[in-house]
Amino acid sequence: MSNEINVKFHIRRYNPKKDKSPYFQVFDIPVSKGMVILDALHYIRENYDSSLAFRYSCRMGVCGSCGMLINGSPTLACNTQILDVSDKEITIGPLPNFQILKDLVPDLMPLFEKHRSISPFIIRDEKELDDPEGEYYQTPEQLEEYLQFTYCIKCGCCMAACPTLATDKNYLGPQPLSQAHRYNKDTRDSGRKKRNEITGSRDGAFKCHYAGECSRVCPKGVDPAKAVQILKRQLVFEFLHLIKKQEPCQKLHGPGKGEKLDIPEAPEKTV
Amino acid sequence: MKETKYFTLHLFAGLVLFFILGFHFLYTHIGTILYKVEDNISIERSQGRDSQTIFLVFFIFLLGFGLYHALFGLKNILHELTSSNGLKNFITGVIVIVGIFLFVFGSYFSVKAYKNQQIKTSKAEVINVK
Repeated sequence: MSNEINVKFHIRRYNPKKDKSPYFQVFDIPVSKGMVILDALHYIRENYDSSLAFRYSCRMGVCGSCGMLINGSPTLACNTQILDVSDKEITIGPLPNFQILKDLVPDLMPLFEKHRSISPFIIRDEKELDDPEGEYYQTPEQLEEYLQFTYCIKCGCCMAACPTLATDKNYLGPQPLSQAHRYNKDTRDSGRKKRNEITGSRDGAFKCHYAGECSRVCPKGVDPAKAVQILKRQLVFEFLHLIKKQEPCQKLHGPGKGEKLDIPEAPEKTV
Repeated sequence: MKETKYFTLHLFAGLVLFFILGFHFLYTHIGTILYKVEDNISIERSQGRDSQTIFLVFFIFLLGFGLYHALFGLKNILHELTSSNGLKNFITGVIVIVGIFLFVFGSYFSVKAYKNQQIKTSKAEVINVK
């Protein structure tokens, strides 16, 4: 291709079984417009070094597997145009604040364990699970309260950017805290008090300094910093018994006790 | 939720300090600058304040809330330097002991100054009566 230019890629390599410490390896890659960082990594693996390890799956910014540190900023390799970053030199490393499994592959287990600890699911009465009453109606305004936080793909970029997590590994971090807020704000959920035990603990929301890096780097546009601040406020208000009672969901319809809402019927089919 | 309780108290202490320190600066320093209250920071006026019960309460509140606010902040900073829960508990313990010691120390001297000034005042009254 005539529009190709050569870009130097400084890739951080580390194999815990062989290497004493990480080191950088430089590769010269022909880059054309439209190529993303993940394409360059595939190029390196196919043409220079097949032992280069990196994680990827969907190639379209949905799965959150290919989070890595690109020119000092944690982001998704599949979602980052090479020429948007630099046309000369690019440095790629694994996500910080995680242990390195190999080369660009971080160990994301601490993220998933912390995420699991905040019960990231809708909690209802156990009785209801055995005897479901029906669907629950949620207004667009109620949905808006937490919608942006549902876009989290658990890529770990926010955790990698967090300066508090860099010094204290026990801190829950922006991803689990923003997800706790997402479920707390869901009107179908009644597990806020259970989550408050975790989010209001010593390693919970109060450790956040509001550096805001998590929100800056999030490839999906989620604002975890905002979620953590709201979470802090809710924890304090809840402690002072000042929190507004969350509006419960209306039952839409159901096989048993649910009441049908006054929703107009759909017009008859014309075709 | 324990941390929520401590953090709420930290916020409350900050709010109280805002007013108490505001009053202190207004009365002692800013008043001197803006309203030309000439001797508000003189030793005689300071001793005069020491003899009043309201100022004794004020000083002890300032000391208590100031110490809590400052030491809780310091504890949070120090906790971030380590991931070890044992060390965190040790830091908390040391800070609690230092805080109690400073509070008792400061309160003791406030009360002592208050009593001394009370004695001086009563002696002066006796002399005046004679």
